[in-house]
Amino acid sequence: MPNASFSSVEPARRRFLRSAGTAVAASLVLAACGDDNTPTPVPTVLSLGSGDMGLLSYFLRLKQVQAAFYEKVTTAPPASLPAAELDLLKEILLHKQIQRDYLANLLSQNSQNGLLTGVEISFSSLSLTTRAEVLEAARKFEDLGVAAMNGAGKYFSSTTFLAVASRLASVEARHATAVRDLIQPSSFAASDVVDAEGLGVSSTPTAVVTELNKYVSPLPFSAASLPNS
Amino acid sequence: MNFLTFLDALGEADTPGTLPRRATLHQLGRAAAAALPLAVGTALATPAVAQRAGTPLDFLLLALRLEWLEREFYTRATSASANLPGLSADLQVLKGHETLHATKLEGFVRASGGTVPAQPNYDFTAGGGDPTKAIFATDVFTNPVTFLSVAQVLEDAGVRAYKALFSTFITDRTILDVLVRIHTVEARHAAHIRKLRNQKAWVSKLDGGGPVPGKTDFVYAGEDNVKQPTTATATLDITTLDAYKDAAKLAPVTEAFDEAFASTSVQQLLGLFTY
Repeated sequence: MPNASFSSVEPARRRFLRSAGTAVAASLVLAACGDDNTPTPVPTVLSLGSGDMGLLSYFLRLKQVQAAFYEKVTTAPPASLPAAELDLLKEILLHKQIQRDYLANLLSQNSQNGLLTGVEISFSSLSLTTRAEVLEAARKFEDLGVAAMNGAGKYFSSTTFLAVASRLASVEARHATAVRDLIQPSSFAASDVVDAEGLGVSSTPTAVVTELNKYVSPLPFSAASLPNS
Repeated sequence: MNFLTFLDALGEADTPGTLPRRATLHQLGRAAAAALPLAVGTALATPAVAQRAGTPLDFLLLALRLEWLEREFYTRATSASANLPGLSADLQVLKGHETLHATKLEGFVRASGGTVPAQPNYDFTAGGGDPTKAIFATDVFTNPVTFLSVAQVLEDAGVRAYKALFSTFITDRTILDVLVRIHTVEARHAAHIRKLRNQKAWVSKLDGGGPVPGKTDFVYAGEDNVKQPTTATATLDITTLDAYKDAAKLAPVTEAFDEAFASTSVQQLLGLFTY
C-alpha cells in the first residue's frame, strides 16, 4: 500500500480524491447508503491520519497555518509595528517555513502527503491592523503550537519521530517567549501557559485543529484518527 | 555495566581533565543495574555512547539532578545574600517552576522503586568544586551579568538534556508526558534569559560558543546541525532544498531545531556545577 492514508479507501475513490487535490480525505459522506447506485462520495474533512505520521501531519498543518500567518503580517505590517519587531517576526516566519518544508519532505519520504495545494488559509476573520493586534495573534498561534506539541509528545511510538517532535517543540516555546516578551515583559511562563504543577499547558489534537480550522477552507482538518485524551 | 562505572568511563574516556566529576557521581550513592540496551540521546550520540546502557530509573535521577541544580541556583539567587536588582519577579517564577519540577521527579523516582539520593554540593562558578577551574566569576549571585550568563548555560543545557532522555520513556506515557512538558517550560525559561542578555531567543549555529567562549562551547556543540531525520535511517540536509541553499539561510536552518545533548554533555554539565 503506497499511501497509508488510503488504507480504507478503495481504488475508485482514491482516484477521485487525488483528482480533487485533497488526497488525505478519508472521511466520506455517502448520500445514499445502501443504494447500489451510490453517488460520488463527497469528502467532508481532510483527515490528518493516525500514528506517528498522523502526528507529524498534524504538526505540518499547524506550521502551514503559522507560516501563512507570518507571511501575511510581515508582507503588510501595521505602521505601528517597530522595525525591530517586524524583523523578529520575519525571523520566526523563516523558521516556520523551514519547519514546514522539512515536515512536508519527511512525510513525502514516508509515502504521506506533504503540502496540500487545495487548502486555502485566510486570516480575514482577524483584525491585524495594529502592533497590539498582530502581536496578540502571534502569541496565540505560538502558545497554541506549544500546547499542541506538549500534548502530542507522549503519543509517538518511534524514537526517531519523537526526537523530531522534541526538536520542534522547544523552538516553538522560544518563539512564544520572544513574542510574549514583546507584549508583556516577564510573562514568559505565566499561569496561562504553565500549570500549577510547573508543566507546560497541553492541548489535544482535536482542540488545536478546531482552532486551526477557523482559518482553513474549503474543507476542515480532522484529528479524529489521532489520540485525543 | 554498573551505571556509576558507566558514568566514570564516560568521564575518563571522553572528557579528560575534569576528574572532580568522579567524586560527584559517586555521591549518587546507588548501584544501578544497567541492563537495558537503550540508545542514549539521538543521532548526536557517538556510537560508543549509544551502545552503553542505563535503566529508566538512572535517567530519571539524571533529570532530577538537573532540576535540583536549577532549583538550588534560583533559591540562592532569591536568598538574602543575593543582590540581583531588577530580576526578583522573574526569579520567583523560575524558582517556583524548578521546585515543582524537582518535586515531580522525586515522586517518579519513588514510584519507580528508587530511592531519592542525597544532594551533591554545588559550584555555580562551574569549576566542579575547584576554584582554579571555575568558568564564571565568583560574583554569580551579586552581579546580574555573571548571573544571567550562568542562567543561560543552565537553561539552554537543560532543554538539550531533556531531549536526550525522552527516548528512554517512549513506552511510559505518564512520565514522557511530564518530561516533554517540563522541557518546553525550560525552553521558555531559556528564551527569556537569553532575551535579558540581549541574545536572540533561539540558538543560532554554535551560539558563538555561549556566554564564555572557549569554556561553554560544549553547551552548544552540535546545534549547527542541518541534517534532520526523514525516516529511522535517512536524513535530509535542509540546506540542499532550493529554498534554503543560500548561505544566508544556514543560520535560520540551525535555529529552527533544538538539538539533543549527547549523554556525555549532560555529565559534563553536572560535573561542572556539582561535586
